[in-house]
Amino acid sequence: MHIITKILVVFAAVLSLALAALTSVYALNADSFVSALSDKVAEADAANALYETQSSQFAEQASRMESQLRGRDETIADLNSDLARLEGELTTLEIRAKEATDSAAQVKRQIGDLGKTTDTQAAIVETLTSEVRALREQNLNIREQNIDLLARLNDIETENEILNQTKRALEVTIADLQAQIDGTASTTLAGGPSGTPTAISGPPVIGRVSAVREVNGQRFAEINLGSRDRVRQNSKLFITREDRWLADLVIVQTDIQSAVGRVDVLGRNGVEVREGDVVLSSLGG
Amino acid sequence: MSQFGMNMPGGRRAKRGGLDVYSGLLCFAVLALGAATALMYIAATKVSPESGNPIALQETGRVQLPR
Repeated sequence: MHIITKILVVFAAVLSLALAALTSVYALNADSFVSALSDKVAEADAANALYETQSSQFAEQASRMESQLRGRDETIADLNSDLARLEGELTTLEIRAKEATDSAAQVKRQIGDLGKTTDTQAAIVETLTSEVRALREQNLNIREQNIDLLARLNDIETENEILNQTKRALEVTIADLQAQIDGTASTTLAGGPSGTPTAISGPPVIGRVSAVREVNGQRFAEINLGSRDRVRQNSKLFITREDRWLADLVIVQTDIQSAVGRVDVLGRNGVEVREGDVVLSSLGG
Repeated sequence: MSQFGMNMPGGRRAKRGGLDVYSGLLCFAVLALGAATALMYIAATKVSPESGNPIALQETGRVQLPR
């Protein structure tokens, strides 16, 4: 065998071994790739199925969202119309706010004017207060003067009362002396009646009943006629009302300006003597 | 006796082998094996997990391309 042939045989053997190894490895790796590819294809199919499902769901969701979007568009349109309306209202309100601001400024000016007026009035009030204070002081002084005058008046009244009492005592004395001169026994503040009642002589005397009271079943009347009017104890007067005779009045006690007498109705019932009835010294006029 | 041009039976010198048609076929086979080995090397390199190592095996259940 030629040497070249031998060398070729060796090369062929070596290449055969290398080719066998490479082919085995390649086959194994290719099988792995094929199996992996099969798995990937299965995954791709599943993914495609899922994609289809999700696509259909997405389409449904998209249609639903489109409907919602149309609804939202309608809502947006409504809101836009509302917004326009509100903008109009806002404009109106802004105008009103401006008017209110102007009014507020006017009111502030008025308040300022009123403040000035108030200051002026406060000054006037201050002046009036000072005047009132002065008047109060004057009033107080006047009151003190009045108190002094009242004290003096009381003193004068007391003196007057004393003088009146003196005058009264003198008049009683004069009346007693006059009675002694006339020969008639007359005693003031004497006891019960004595003798026959007598009418008052001279010019007629007119008076009025000032009080009526009843003592032990006997009615007594107080009149505004006294000893200065020639009324004496046991004098007989006539009580009338509206020019009508009511009863006789027999004097039982006299004073200077008043007298008390017993009412004599002459046995009649239902006769009532009241305050204000007229007392006459004679009924003949 | 061969120096005398005479050959004795069984005494003839062995004929030395030369290139013949079988050597040609063997050469063609070697060339084909070389080409196939080269192509398989390239193909195995493409499916091998390691770059430049055509005889590396892929892990079971996990395929990766040469790095």
